[in-house]
Amino acid sequence: MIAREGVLQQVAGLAADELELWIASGWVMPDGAPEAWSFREIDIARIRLIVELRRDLEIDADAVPVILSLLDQLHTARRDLVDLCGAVASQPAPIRAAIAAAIKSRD
Amino acid sequence: MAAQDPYVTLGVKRDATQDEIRRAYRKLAKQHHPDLNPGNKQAEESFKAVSGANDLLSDPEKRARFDRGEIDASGAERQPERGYYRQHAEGAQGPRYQRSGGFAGADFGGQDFGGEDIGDIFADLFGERRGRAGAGAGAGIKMRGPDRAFTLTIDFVDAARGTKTRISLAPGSTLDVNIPAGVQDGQILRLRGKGDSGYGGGPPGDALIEIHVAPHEFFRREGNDIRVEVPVTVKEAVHGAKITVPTVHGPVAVTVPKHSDAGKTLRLKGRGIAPPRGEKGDQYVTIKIVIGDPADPALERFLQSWEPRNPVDPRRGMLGS
Repeated sequence: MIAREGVLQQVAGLAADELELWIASGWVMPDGAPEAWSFREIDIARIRLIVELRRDLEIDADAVPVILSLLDQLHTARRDLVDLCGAVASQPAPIRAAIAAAIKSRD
Repeated sequence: MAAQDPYVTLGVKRDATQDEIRRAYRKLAKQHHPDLNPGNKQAEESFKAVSGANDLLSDPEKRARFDRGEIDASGAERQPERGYYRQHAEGAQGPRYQRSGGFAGADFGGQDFGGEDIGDIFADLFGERRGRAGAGAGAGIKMRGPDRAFTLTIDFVDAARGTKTRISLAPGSTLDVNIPAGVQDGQILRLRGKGDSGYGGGPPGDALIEIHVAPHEFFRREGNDIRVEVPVTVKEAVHGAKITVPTVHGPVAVTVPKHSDAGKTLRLKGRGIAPPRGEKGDQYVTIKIVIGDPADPALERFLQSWEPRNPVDPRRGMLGS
């Protein structure tokens, strides 16, 4: 768990009021309450990404939530796919073969 | 792989302004940022190359040192190892930003495959499918390869006539490029399928070659016409002469008519640029009278004693009445 000060220290070029705004906008979702936010590594990586989108890629503030939303959906889908693959992998061989055959017959 | 020329990596000219460099970087970074390409392993390498080139060229001091040959492209290519959001999003903490509509609630008894690439899992499950073209499971694994940008400077005459040239993409890999006659400065040639290879059977990207045409000592270009200024002697201008002039297609004999004033322009039909489509251009030869330096003493003596029969002020009409 990382406190707000730690985040500001770790992410170059991040202003405190910027971070507050992003949290208020739901771009970043730390644990805890406004006086004592608690961040995880994934939050820091996400903040870093937002800094890069805004500063290096000069992406409009209006476009950032669109990108984040699409990224979140994409990662959700990819996680689901990983789960699905895991579920398939844990099946007995004949069932795996049947699933592989069913997928192949579709294209 | 050896570090690419940073100008080539960013696809900018050697004399690009800082603003042009920034814009080129931004465009490529948007394309290759690993977090905007979650399933694409190569994105990280491409992004590193682009960032390295930008680090070098966006710093005027480093750029000047590179231009002078004091540091090479690899000096700036070593990007510090860093993590990306995508690793976290697909790791154990990923569900933090989970969107509704997934399998989150479903009872699939999923296993933790954290960090493993989905493409690899599919390959393990359905090994025989790997690399095969066709849609279906694993969508997103099959991707068109990225485009690669190059710049190429060619000779004025080669640009006018068209040429074949060879560029090197990486050590041991070359690309033959057909330059069409009449290619313009700044024109971009797209070579389909000559970019980076695709992923999982996807088609390769394109090579984009930005052409720079070096200026010529004598020739100037106007559309498909070529203009050239040709010096003639006083004697040739007064008596007329057969002279040889250069064209982009080689020397051509031209008759300078009697009594040719300086600035007279002769047209050599069809001796300009012959583009693959459209009309052939002409060459225009403008006469420039030279008296030599120092002028011939005999000519000088003659002119001193010479009284024109009908003295004319050639500047009359320029100064008002």
